[in-house]
Amino acid sequence: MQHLEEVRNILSDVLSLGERKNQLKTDSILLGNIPELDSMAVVNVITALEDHFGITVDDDEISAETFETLGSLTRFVEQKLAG
Amino acid sequence: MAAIARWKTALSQMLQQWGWFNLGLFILNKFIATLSKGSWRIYRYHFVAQPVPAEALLPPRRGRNIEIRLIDEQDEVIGQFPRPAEAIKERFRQGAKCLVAFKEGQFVGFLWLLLGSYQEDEVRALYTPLPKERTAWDFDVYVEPESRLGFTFLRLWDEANHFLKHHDISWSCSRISAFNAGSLSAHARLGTVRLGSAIFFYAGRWQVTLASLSPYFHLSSYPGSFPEFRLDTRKLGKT
Repeated sequence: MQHLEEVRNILSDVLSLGERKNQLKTDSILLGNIPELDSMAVVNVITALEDHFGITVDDDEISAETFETLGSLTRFVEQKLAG
Repeated sequence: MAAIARWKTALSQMLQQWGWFNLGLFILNKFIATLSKGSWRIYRYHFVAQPVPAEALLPPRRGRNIEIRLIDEQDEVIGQFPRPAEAIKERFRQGAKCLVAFKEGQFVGFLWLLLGSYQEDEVRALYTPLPKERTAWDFDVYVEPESRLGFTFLRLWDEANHFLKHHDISWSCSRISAFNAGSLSAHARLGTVRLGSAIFFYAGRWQVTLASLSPYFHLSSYPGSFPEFRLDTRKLGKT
């Protein structure tokens, strides 16, 4: 996953994770594990991903599966970039 | 061993989110509620005020497939609310307004507003947001579990803020359980300001209230006796 580091940085910046950023691995659970990741934060994360990668994310593409782990979120971004 | 490890993790997370005091109260509440079979209970609420923002919370292209409707007490969707029918009836009797969210015609959430004083239904207390012509009361924001990651919460708030602005309201007050970290953080992201807190201790028909704001202390022995909390937003400035 070549964009893992970028997605990790965006998550960390938007959610102000600080030192916790370093604990985020590919299989790190996001939903339910990061208290800051609520519905308001999701909007900000999606907007930041769209701006950074030049992608467009529709409302219906935002799902619990996408945000399950850092790896699943990165895979989603890479699928959008490939599409 | 795995169960003990899970308990330790859960306690550690609660401690991090709530602090020692609230965690101690929470454990004490569980303990006495179990011993008394529910007749002794402890509640701790934070009173907060939230500014009514000039701008929408959601970008314009987000949440368009979520319809928000202001309903009346005859609306059939009430049958899908995960709340007792009597509690809903009492809210309408108090003059509360209910905004309901629908996605593709399906019920996905609600939010309640009240322009005036609110008689609490969990403990004996009356909340009066002040000044009355500029401050509302919001309560019981609910989103169906499968919609919690989406935009329902923000669509409800955008519509609520639209309603409040239409009524020239600058602030909306509410109470949040100190044991509900999710609600506290969600409100914090909406820019809430803390006004105070209160602890309600129930023992049978008795209720003892200790608060950081007037009336500070209250003893009640029947439902008609309750403290009134006047939540004044005048010092918070204009939004």
